[in-house]
Amino acid sequence: MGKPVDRIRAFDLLKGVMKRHYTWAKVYGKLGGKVAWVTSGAPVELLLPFGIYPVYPESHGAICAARRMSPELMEVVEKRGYSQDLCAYALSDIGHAITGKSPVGGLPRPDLLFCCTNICGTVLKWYQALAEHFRVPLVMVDTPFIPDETTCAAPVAVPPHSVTFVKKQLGEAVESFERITRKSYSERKLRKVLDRSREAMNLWKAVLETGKHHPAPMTCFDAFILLNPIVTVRGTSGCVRFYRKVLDEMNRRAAVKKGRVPDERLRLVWDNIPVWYKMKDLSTFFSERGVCLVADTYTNAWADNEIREGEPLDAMAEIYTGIFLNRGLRSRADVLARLVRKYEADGMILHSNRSCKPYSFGQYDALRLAHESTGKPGFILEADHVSPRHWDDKRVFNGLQTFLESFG
Amino acid sequence: MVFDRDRVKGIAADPIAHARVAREQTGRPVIATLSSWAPHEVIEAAGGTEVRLPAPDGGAMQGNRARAHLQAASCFLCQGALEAGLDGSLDFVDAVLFVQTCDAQQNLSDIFKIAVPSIPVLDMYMPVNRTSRGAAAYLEKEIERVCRDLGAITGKTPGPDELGSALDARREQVDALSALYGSRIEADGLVPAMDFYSVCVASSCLPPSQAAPIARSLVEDIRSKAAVRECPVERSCMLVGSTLPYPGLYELFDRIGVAVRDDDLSLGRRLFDHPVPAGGSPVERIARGMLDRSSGATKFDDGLVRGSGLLRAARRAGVKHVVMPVLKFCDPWAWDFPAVRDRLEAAGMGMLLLELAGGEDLAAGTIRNRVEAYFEMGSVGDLFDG
Ligand code: SF4
Ligand code: SF4
Repeated sequence: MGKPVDRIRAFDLLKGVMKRHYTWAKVYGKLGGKVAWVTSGAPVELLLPFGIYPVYPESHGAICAARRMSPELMEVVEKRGYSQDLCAYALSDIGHAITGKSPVGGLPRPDLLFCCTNICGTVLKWYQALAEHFRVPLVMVDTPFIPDETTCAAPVAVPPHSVTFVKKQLGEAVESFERITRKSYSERKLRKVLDRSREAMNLWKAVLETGKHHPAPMTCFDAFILLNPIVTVRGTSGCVRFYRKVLDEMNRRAAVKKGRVPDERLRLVWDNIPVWYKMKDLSTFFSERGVCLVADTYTNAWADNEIREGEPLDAMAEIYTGIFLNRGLRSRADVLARLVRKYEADGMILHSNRSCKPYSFGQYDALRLAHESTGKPGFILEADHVSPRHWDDKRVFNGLQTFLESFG
Repeated sequence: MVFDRDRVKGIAADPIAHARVAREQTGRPVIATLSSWAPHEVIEAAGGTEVRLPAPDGGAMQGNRARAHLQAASCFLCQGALEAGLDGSLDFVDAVLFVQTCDAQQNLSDIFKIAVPSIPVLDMYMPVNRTSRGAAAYLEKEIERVCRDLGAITGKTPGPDELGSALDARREQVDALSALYGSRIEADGLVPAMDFYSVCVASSCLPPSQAAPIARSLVEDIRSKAAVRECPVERSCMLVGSTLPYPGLYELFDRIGVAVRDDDLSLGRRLFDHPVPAGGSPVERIARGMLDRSSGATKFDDGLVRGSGLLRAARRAGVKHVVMPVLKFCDPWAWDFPAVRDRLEAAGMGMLLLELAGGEDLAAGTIRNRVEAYFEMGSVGDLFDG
């Protein structure tokens, strides 16, 4: 057993895709194009027909965290009175907005902000702060939360009055984009973008599903990195091309039983956003012990919802309201249990993410429910996705070691 | 009616105990709520009595069963509400109604369903984007659904007549509380800040027909004392934040001689800070009332500059200092603090943030020292201003 030694070639492609994305975003603004800062759950397809270029502070925040620049950015913001308990993505992004510091040259100044509450309420506060800082318009879409029924998971179908409300707001967002860009809405263009999104999401789903193979050709640590284009350039043909190649590579690896973890002996499912600044250490730790993290709820969120064909705003209202994080606790536990079964996993690791409350509240019960349903054990890993302040190597790795030993 | 300070203070000290007794005596179903966004009129129309969670003195946190369900980084309000459910303090309530206003509360609802299966849980979503043209129609549907859900609990699904009567009763209550708050400046140094808090808490857990006369009786009390005022209060402030279920803070202000002239709190002005709209069906009026309410940290009003409403309110109250008590891990209000502080400071006002873990003794110790030190310095500032 040992570290993952082979290279996934898609990572080289990814570098090119992301470099082009960030470079183009900068040039685009300078050429007079409009740039929007967008939350990861926002219905981004709506921007593209207007020629608005979306960039994602959350993806940039992940890069800042992975390159260990976040503490410095957060400190700037905390000095201004923001509590250190707030979402660390948001704090480091505001730090970036104030200082311009970034390990990748930073995001271009936005002409507008587009946020959707389907991932959390924090994005509203975060984007309000950005709107005040940059003095640019904030367009927001409010997606009513779908709580569980008393004894069962939230209904699969989004309540019709929620769809109507969200659709109305999408229409209002279109009006805002028309005003900002002085361009007219084109349903034809939107349909085309949605077609590409649908195709990319299907490909992404197929990529993740290659993890069903024994041994799995990729781990969730790979997925966390390969996810970037589906978040940032979804709806473009470049995104579709990229995932076709990733899928080819994963299928080839699976066909020759090339596992990502040498001598895979244990398979686990991960819940929550990765601990970006410890990805390498965690990946190595598991790999050295023959443990493969075969699936995760985070990257699965971009694979689980297919935008149905039909009236575009209706379909978008439905899909963007019904996403994983906008559903009740039992629904989220169901997804966890489903992944355990689908990927034939032996257990679960739930990252209790200190500054991301929507994802982490209720995880103790989610673990109990998923355990009842699958019979598989789980481990709660207390950390934060961005801030290393509460991380303790000894505590975490000792805890994980004990958990792994329980499998014999 | 004479203001019965001891009775009102008693209710405010332990509204849960009061609600339990009232449940036994009247048989009226009790609906526990956690947010000022709860549809009070609908609860009243369905024949229920509302009570706010958790117990105001934080006494519900004697044990820590809630910690088996909630991560450490959760606000005291959520912990207290869940603990109250787990330790049996709520065994008499007929249902808990969660209005999903923040990430913590919306998850708490589902945790509560699992952790306390003996108490039915109802949900309602209050739109965040209140300026959308679709918000009213959405909220009306939510209200209609809550009418049905509550009806299933209380045995009385409210129709237009019941909702109309509840709106009338609500209007009475809103008028009485508005009149009371209108007399706050007059009340400087005459009645303790604690009285206002007690009336607000009592108003949140008594039927409007009982609550309105209590507010009026305090107005009378203030007026009768105003004639014999001896010296004006020199130091004053306004309070702003989420729920502040802590009598201790009011006691502290009373003890150190700082008049609380107004507030923007969930168990304060936000209980009544909107007129009850006239015209339209009762459901439309309730929805419009909720959409017209002042914003709070959990809502989006397009074009709103954060802190601007508060600045206007502080000017109206004639205060130079705003105190913002915020529960630790309460994200929405922690987010608003820097923006609100900057706005107030730019207008020459001072702001003091008090981060409260919950359950601490606010009238003594560090919090008291901080508040005292702040107002000592603030007074010097006032002298220089003058
Ligand atoms: S609170 Fe969680 S879901 Fe919301 S922006 Fe932060 S990390 Fe994302
Ligand atoms: S608004 Fe703040 S205090 Fe209230 S439940 Fe949410 S996090 Fe807790």
